[in-house]
Amino acid sequence: MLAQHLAISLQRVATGFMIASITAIPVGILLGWVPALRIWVGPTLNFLRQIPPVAWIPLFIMWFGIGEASKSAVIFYAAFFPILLNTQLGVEQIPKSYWEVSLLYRLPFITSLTRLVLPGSAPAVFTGLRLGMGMSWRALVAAEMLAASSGLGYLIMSARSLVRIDEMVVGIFLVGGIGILIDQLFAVLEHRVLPWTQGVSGVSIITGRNAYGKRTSPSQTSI
Amino acid sequence: MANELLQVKQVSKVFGDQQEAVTALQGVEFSISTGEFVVILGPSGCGKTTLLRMLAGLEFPSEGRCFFDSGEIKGPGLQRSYLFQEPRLFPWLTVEQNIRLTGAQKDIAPLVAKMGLEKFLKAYPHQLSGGMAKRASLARALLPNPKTLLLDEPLANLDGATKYALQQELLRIWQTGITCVLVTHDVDEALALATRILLFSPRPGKIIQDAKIKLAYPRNDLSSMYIDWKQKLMKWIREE
Repeated sequence: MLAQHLAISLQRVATGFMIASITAIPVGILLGWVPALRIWVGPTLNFLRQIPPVAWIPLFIMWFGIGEASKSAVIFYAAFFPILLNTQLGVEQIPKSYWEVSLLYRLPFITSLTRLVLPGSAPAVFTGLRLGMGMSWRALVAAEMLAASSGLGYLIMSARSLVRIDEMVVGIFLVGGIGILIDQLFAVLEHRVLPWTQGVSGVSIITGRNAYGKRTSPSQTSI
Repeated sequence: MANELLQVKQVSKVFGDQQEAVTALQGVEFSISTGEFVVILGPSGCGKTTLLRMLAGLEFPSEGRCFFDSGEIKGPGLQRSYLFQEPRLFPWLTVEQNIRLTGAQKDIAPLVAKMGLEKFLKAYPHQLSGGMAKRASLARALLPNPKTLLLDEPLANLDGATKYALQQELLRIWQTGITCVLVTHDVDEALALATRILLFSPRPGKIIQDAKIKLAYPRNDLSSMYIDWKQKLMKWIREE
């Protein structure tokens, strides 16, 4: 019973989060790379960013029905902006001196992308992914509380109506526990994929140490 | 003339807007022939780095024009390699990937052996010493087989021994037929390397002396001719 609720919640997060990553990273790279684009789409994105994902739930249900699509849409919305903004910031923060190297050696577009832009922005992209995952997890529980007949959010709400405090507590702790697990998974992945980072991000919340065993201040990734 | 590789014709450079214009260079004119090792010597802020960046195609003159191989310089080109003051290796690429930036398929083994980088190919830039990082960036600059190497104070911030070793390395590279243009404010470095020194005045930079240095390599900084040259240069610098 619990496992079913957990599985369906995870599946919803995975779908929405995946679509958000696939769309937000390229758009973020484009916005970071071509400053002129920011003038055109910046205000619109900034406006959309201010709206809490939960506010869209009624509209999404009307557009996408009460099935899985509306929940995935809410999660997509929640994860999209942290990933987009961090990716854009990551590209913008690549030092001018490295761009000059790319200019000097007349690197073709594809080399600039794979050798400069993608690796240069990768730590920020990972921060965005971790923030986005946290946001989608929150949005999911909210969505399930409002309109669902399964999932961890639904479990908590249905336990409330039956005054099953034990079930509610289990649901709440599971949400937190899974959140930490996924975040740690990203931290490990980050150190695997980005061996040159010196433990700026990817600090274990549990031990406070990074993959090199060095104690660092906790990153801003867990809100 | 056929062997004039680089030409600078009446070049001036002004930074900033009309109210706060700073003239970095004024009416600079010279040409460099194939096979020369030219050192542009001048105090900080005399516009010598700006001039070198113009030859690299990273900046453009406010007035005048620069030429390479009889064609006007309108942007960077692989025939004109440029060594920045800092190594500027991409921290996320290994030394090998950094060197291969301009040619993934090329055979880099001879170049790597010449630079003494064999053991560091798989290392990341943060694992290298200052001298090794310089060598790696030099290897990256040499991979496209440039005709000329533009060097922006490449030996600043290095210890004495590393500096000496890299000076010898630069001379070896020059002897393979690559025309070198090096910018520095260090008189000894200029005398250790140059076949010709262009002495610049403080801002706005212009050429105050154009001296051919006919001293044999390797140069002995205790020889009387070396000391004569040093005194001459110091006198010119003080007179400005």
